[in-house]
Amino acid sequence: MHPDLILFRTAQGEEVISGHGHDQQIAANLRRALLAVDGKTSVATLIKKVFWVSDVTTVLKELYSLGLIHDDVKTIQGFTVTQSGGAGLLLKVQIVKIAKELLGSNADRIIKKIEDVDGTPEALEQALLSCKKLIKLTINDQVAETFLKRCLEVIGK
Amino acid sequence: MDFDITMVVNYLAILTMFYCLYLVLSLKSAIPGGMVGKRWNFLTMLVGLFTIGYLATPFFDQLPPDILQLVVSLIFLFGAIYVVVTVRLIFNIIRELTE
Repeated sequence: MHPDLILFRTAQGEEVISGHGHDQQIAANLRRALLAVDGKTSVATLIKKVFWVSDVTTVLKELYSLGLIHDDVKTIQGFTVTQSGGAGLLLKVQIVKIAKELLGSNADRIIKKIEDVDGTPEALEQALLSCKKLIKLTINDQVAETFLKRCLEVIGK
Repeated sequence: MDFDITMVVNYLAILTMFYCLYLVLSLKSAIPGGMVGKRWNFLTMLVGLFTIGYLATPFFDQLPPDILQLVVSLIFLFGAIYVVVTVRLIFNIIRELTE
């Protein structure tokens, strides 16, 4: 697991934390580690900071394999992630969904740009304008306009 | 053994054009449409045409002078078109990015 990786809780992970996921019980050590994953802290920092969890790296790998945490924003579905990653992450998820819907297999470069940017509406707006230009140049003019319009609505601009 | 500089230059040109053909074809999947995509198809066609033309250069000495002049003129014409399309493409990209 790369030290710079930022991990966040998946919807399933959130359910386990909130106690709604009755069908999936996890060990106390795993639960403690899951609580420490906040969508902002890198793996390296978690290893240093979370001293109350034994063998953090292995535990994180286990949580990852259970699908309770993830590092790929594209995998998040629904709104439950707001608690773990903040509003910015939710906005990114919605934008990624729009990109996938409109661009299909050509969405990868756009998704990468969205993932790399900060989650603030201002930063996202700049990224979206840049994405629109990229789509207009390399994919389709009309799709570029639609993408920008829908995404700006999402971020409230 | 005679060292034919013209032939060496010819083969270098053919190799370079094959590299160009490889580049345009490999980048094509990354540019499915849009302003660049449309121009890219045209550029790909021109590169294909040039590749065929360049492959024929070792046999140019077997052509009648009239035909040879015509072929060279056509290569110049398509070369000029290629340059115009490329320059306009760069111009449009810069305009789009600076809007």
